[in-house]
Amino acid sequence: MELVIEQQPETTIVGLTGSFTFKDVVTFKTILNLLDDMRPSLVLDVHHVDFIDSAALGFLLLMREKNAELKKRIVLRRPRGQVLKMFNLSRLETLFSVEH
Amino acid sequence: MLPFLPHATQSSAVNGYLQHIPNYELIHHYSNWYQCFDKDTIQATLQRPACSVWETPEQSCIVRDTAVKNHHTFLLELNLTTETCYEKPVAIWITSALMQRFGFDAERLHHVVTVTHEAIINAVIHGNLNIHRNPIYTHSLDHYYSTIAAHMRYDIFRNKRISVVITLNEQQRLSIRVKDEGSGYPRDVANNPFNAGIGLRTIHSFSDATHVRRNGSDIEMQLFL
Repeated sequence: MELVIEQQPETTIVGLTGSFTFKDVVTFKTILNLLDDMRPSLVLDVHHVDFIDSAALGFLLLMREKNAELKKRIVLRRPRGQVLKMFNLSRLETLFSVEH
Repeated sequence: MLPFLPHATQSSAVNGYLQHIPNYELIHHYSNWYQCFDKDTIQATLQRPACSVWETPEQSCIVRDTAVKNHHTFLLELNLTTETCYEKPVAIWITSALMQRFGFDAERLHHVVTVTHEAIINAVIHGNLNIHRNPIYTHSLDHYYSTIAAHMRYDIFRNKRISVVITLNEQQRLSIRVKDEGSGYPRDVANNPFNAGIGLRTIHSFSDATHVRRNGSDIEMQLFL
């Protein structure tokens, strides 16, 4: 898993590449820490993620829980292939803003 | 290139299987399991035409093509340690090698790789490592991962076996069966996807049929390709 962070005045954009699985605990923690910055929105660009597992989906739900008090806008951007299937299965579009 | 070592005496891990396999070909015997299990080995083994085996003292891989009265069945059987299944992307390697050989449709490949991965990871975490807490509910990634690391320090956990058996028959029915040495889920979770976590629900949703045995420590998923 590769991760590129771009910080704009109002938004933090996290670009993810590769497989996003239970092994990516460092990525999980990095993203959770980004929730604490003052920018009002966080975008996870998953267009280049080719595989996601249930642990990574669980992490997204954990992130949503943590964000309940912070009220930051979280966007999942451009899911495709297996990732889109997993998002649909978990009905993530009802929990997050998903941009196609 | 892999460090191919000379053939040596067959290990007890494989002996039991070999007596049932006529004309097997022992490809490699390695002394160190960590060196031998990688994407190239799996791919090379699956390209063998008839019946082949690789082994280490702890782990083995058997590939068999059988044709009886024009009925053809392909079988891949892996016996791996918990540590291998945790450290390496076994499901991704297996399914990409199967795709190279059989040319699955990309849509179906998503389902195959996902259910195989989820079943193997469930076998590792909830089966052989006996961890049933979930970070979503404990709100602590650190606690969850430190528990995994603590269990993996003990041979009794990391050397437990996981068996992955994949068969493909002429009707294009793919069966993936994953067995671990754990005690399974609570009964209400194992058989009811609505009570299960995301992983088990994914398995039920992406498979055409699922057979759960021994409270989930033996799960078979079937997909029609």
